[in-house]
Amino acid sequence: MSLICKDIVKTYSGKDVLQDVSLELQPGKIYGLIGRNGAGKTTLLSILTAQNPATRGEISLDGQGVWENRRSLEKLCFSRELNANAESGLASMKAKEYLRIAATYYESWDRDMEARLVSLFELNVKKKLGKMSKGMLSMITIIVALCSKAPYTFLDEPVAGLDVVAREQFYKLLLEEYTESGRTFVVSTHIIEEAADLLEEVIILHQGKVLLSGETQSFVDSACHVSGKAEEVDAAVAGLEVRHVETMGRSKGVTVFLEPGQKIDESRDVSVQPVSLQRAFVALCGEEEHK
Amino acid sequence: MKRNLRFWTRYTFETMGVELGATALLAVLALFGADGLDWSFFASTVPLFLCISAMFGIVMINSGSQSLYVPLLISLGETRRNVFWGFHYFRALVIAVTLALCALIWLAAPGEVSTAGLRSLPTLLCVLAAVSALGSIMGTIFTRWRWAGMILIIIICGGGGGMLGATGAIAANGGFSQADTLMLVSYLMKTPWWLAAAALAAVALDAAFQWVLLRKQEVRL
Repeated sequence: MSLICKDIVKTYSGKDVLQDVSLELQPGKIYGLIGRNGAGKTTLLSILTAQNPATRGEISLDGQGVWENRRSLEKLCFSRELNANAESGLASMKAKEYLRIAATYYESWDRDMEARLVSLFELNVKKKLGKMSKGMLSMITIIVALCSKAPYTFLDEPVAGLDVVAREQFYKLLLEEYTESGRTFVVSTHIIEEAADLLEEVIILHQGKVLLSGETQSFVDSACHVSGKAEEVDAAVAGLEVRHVETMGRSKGVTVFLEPGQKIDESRDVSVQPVSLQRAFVALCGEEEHK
Repeated sequence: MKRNLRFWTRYTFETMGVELGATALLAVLALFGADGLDWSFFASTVPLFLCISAMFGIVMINSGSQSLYVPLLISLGETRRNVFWGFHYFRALVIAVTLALCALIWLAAPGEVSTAGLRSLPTLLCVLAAVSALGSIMGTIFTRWRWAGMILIIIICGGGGGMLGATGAIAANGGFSQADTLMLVSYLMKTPWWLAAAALAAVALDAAFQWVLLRKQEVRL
């Protein structure tokens, strides 16, 4: 049971927000969807879950189209980031009411888990959504995502506005749920460093295109930071894919992406260090010079 | 579909609660204005307050539903087709419950007004269906083109309320001729074909308009 999207294009006012995006999301994995602001992450998640129509392209789950297909949609949950200032009237809805409606629509909704999470997050569900802080709204979206029990669950910036304790709680809950249920989670986040350990696979979206989709560890392992005297660094990385160049006087540091079989010339007087997912992401999507 | 029906049925009864509240308020206001009180006559006029509350309630609630519940349900994994039918089911149920309550009250309080009221049910059905369709169209416009929808709602609700008030004032001051009164009563007693046709056209137009926009609607919460 894979969720497959093929050649997705989304155009707003003549501008391509997503360009030929093709992905395969396999069951039982945690994916990280990362990208800069405006890269098209929320748009992609909305299209994958049929909340927004694509301009072109196809999405299927287990070989069945997702659009207007209740059987497929039952297996998907995209817990959107709630906007309490929205003119939609959501601000005047109580959290309790929102959760009640969500429970009506998700067949496998876990009421015990809902009660447990409401208590864990110390949420006052009698409060209107418009009166809640950004962190509290994030808690609501986390509750909907986890309690829906949907085999494919998408979370858009789930930790936005959460304090460090609540963020840790969320990562723990996500991991627990993943271990117990084997559900697939796709988590879009800007807080890459914190979530890096959770993400088995990473999808990097940049300017509406998928720059990379693959195992997080392989991606991180393929990158390294090379530093030393500028001429030594240049010689050591000659012919390699160099990104994110930093110079300070005669010293230079670069992030290099190695293809299989490629190596850094270690006979040169340079220091080679592994990089974190965040640093690799910045190197890949940053505006720095690349060769 | 079962979940969809459960949601819209519950929402119908919440809406009916608001409608009954507004009816009670109108009835209390009417009581204050009455010189003497004939309880039987008063009871037979309550359905009229209920219909007025339903008309304004349907317009306002339809607009709210379009901008809040339709995108919310899509975001919770419901298909657009089911949301479309669920929303129509909700509106039909509100009208049906309203008319059923009117009929029950008129049956419970027999008299001249009640007899006329029972005969006017088809006309009331046409009026409520047309008003409901209008409310839904306004709601769709409001969701899609915020300010244009808002201006339209103000004009239509303000205009409708104003007309109703003016008509009441004219009637209270004996401003209606006998011929005018007879014509109005005849419309209530025997539904004019053009009213039925207008209601049908409004419902069809609303359904077509709503479906075209709903198919391409983007969820923004």
